[in-house]
Amino acid sequence: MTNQRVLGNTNSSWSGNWTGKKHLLWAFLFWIPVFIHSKPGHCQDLIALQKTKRIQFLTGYNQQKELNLIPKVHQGFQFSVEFQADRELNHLSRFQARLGISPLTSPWETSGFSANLQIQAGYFHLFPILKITNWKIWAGPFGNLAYNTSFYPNWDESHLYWANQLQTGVSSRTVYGLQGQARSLFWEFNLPVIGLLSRPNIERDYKIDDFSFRGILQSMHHQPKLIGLPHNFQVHSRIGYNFPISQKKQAQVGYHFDHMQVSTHYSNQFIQSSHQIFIGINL
Amino acid sequence: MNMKSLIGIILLLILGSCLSEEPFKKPFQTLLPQELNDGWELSTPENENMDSQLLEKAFELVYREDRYVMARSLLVFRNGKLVAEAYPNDPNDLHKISNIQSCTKSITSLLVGVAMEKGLFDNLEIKLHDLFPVMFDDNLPKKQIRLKDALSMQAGLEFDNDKHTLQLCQEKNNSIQWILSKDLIHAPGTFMNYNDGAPHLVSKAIETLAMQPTASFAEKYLFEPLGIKDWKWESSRDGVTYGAFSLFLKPRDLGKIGQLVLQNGIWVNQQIISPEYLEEASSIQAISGHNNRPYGYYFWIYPEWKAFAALGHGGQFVLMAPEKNLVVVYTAWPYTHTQLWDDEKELIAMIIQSCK
Repeated sequence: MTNQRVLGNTNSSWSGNWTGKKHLLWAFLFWIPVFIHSKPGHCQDLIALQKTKRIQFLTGYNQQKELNLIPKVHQGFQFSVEFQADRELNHLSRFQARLGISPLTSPWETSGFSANLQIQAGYFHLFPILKITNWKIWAGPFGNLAYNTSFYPNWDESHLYWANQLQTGVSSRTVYGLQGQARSLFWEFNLPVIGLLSRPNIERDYKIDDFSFRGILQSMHHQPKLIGLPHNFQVHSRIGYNFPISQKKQAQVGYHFDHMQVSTHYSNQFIQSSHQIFIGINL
Repeated sequence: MNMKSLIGIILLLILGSCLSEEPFKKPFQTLLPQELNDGWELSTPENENMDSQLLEKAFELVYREDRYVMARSLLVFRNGKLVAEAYPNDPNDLHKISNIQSCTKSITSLLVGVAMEKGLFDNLEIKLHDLFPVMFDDNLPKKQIRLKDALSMQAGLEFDNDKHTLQLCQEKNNSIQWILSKDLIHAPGTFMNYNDGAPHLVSKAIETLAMQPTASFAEKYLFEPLGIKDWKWESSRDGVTYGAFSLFLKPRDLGKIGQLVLQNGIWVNQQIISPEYLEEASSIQAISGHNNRPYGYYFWIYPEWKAFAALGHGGQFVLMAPEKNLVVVYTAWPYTHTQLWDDEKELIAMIIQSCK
């Protein structure tokens, strides 16, 4: 029999799961030789260093199902802004950060709405796989830190819900040059393979989450668990058209798709699927 | 690949990734209770003089996908026997403790009656200031707040649940001092303001009188005699058991508490709660300043049915109708906004009508 005060979880910090961290560390260590091998001196086909920064605005429709709460779909428009910094020599390295917000509703709510917030930062290290005439294909590893947090005040006034992940996987970028490479079509595909996932427990005893900054930060990294398939099925992809808008500037338009369904033994599944169109401009 | 194929693939991807809805509830099968040897005698609606068809309609209502969407359990007890139960969300909810939220207030009230029966004090006129004087500031009128004022939500202190309940949960220092530091906006005993602060003061009063935390007192003198083994009761950061919310019980055990009240506080020939206190607690002591509903000592009164109830967040309730010898327990997901609670009166009316 227990009689306890539970406001925030004290035994569940990011540091609480060394086994999970160790696995992820090994996964990252695995990629180090690949990075070393990719230094410019090994290039057979040296090209001039190209640095590109761009900002992209995405909007579309987001659907998500939080099975810790209800088996129903919350949906609504999504608005995101993304920053990319590319560095291309013989390989393509990219730093990418994205902030997205999505007000969500369900048919059972007569007023108010839920909200989903996504903050991501990732690094991609892609190697040229194919380069023939108009085609260029890169592939390689990536690492990504993705915070995905939702608040459903009509369904649960007292708790936050999240599916936060430190993940690594494989990524590819395919470019098909048009009109002497001034314009191009591109396709990007990211497949997270393993990750450390933090989810809220199915049963939470405390009435109100600790909404202080420290409390939220602790919750967001609660009980991280190493997950791979089938508990971590994610696809992130986009196709786009890159075109010049002036002699120096290029812009992009296209379609972006995200799908994730993740779960751990202590938490039910979280499923999210979003379709967005985007427009971007090189800075 | 031509443009048509590309568009086709994209459309397929979009349609294929649309998430599917799943039902809130399991299909309705039976309302007949299971034998668990947990102290409940089982019976059937017919044997307890109830219209089983009407009763079944009440259960079907709870199983409807568009009503009582977050329902967890519905149990009906008549003549001291469990006659019907169902767990629409998950059959395992039968075995799970869950936060009964503001139904906790009614248990806090009953513990005052237990303390009275134990002879820890003899009337409700006792002033809170006499129990824990060091918690009070220099405001003289606040020192006049009686236990009965706090029990009838007429302490007069400013406490707005929408704003102050979260603050109470996050208060790192003395939770009682924090509540008592609120402005006195009404003279004690003159205005009913339903809130979570007053029951916390009552919990502190029980703790002071019993010289142990309210949860421990409840365990020894209420839960153990009733055979309630699985429970949990949260407390504020300074260790005072919340008087207003966050007691976790199983639905059947909640029924035992309702039945104890119907039996005038007697359980297996043992007087647990003062019958005089129960009489007073279940009578009108105040009218809610918010919705004009009559209120006892942390019990809502339903004069139309000669009944009273503990009500909790999520639309949860324990109804006690002494003339019908009826207890109804309804539990739901405890954290929803009011728009998802549905109408407890509709459910209660159907069940009361089923009593012949």
